[in-house]
Amino acid sequence: MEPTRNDQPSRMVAARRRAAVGKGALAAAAVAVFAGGMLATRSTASGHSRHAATPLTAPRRFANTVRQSALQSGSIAPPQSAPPQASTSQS
Amino acid sequence: MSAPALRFQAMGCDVQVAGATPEQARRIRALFDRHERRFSRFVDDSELNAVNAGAGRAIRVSRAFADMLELSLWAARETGGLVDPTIGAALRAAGYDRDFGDGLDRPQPPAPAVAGCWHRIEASGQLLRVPAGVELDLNGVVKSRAVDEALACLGGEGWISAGGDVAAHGAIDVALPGGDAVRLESGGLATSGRERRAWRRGGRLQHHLIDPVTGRPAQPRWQQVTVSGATCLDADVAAKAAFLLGDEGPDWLDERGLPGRFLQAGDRAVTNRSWRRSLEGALACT
Repeated sequence: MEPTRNDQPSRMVAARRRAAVGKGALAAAAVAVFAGGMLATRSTASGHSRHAATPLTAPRRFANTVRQSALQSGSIAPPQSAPPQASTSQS
Repeated sequence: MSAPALRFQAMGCDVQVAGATPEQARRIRALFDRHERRFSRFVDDSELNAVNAGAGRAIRVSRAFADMLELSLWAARETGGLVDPTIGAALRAAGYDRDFGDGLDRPQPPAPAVAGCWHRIEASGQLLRVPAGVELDLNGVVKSRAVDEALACLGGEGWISAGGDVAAHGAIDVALPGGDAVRLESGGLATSGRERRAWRRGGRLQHHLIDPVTGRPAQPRWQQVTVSGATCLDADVAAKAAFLLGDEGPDWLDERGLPGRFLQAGDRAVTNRSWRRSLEGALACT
């Protein structure tokens, strides 16, 4: 059966509404993809700064480790007994 | 403190242990034996010989070997390359090619010199590549480290001595070369010199303290150098470096706050500022 002249305006309005919803969804998806991609790029690309710049100083733990690994002195004093118990002779 | 209860030979030197229980003494002896089997140039199937045979290609070494090599490279860095772990070929060229007890004097002159090159070693964890033609010798570091490890085996007061390196739990008096003594309150004492490990090649005197720049036994300014360090390893490394530095040895030790005593010909002893300050400070506290 042929559609009547009275049915046509309501079908056009519904079609335009569906199209508008679809366009809005596509735009929102595009914005979300762009934003997600940008965030992913910023967080993974080595050339992008993720934090505020800080001065270049060695962490305290590292500095302590380096200091501890240097040659260090023992403790000696004048002898108190005779004869000595041990001997250091050349190796 | 007690007299030594255990004596044995290991790594070509006399080892003495005082204050150890029988179980601790057994563990200490096993420790020295284990190090000798792994690091000696004169044990055919030692890991050191396997590494030297594999020079030029990347090889995987044991965790213990990697740790000792790391200490040896640390010693080289701390001394500006004076205590170099790559002097194995230089020692062999000078004639130290067998255990000292077997006699090293020969009428032939020494072979061409081989300079040290510790900075060319590539190591990452247990992966190691020694440059082709280079031979490692870690003996000095291994011996002093073994004394430090053995001391950790003692539960209470006691001391360990191995070929001039002494470390103690509790204070002990230690005889010094040339007839003097000092009280070791903590850490270790080590003496380096050329008298004990010396031999002749082609009529020329050779010894085991190699100048890594020339690849030849160093021209000695001192007979013996004794250093006090926080550990035997520190003391031994510093004593070797100070010996090789000659006239600059006392100041080099002072710059690092390390007490040193230098014995000249005729048994005349010279001490650096840090040594004198240590003894004077101890007197002021009594």
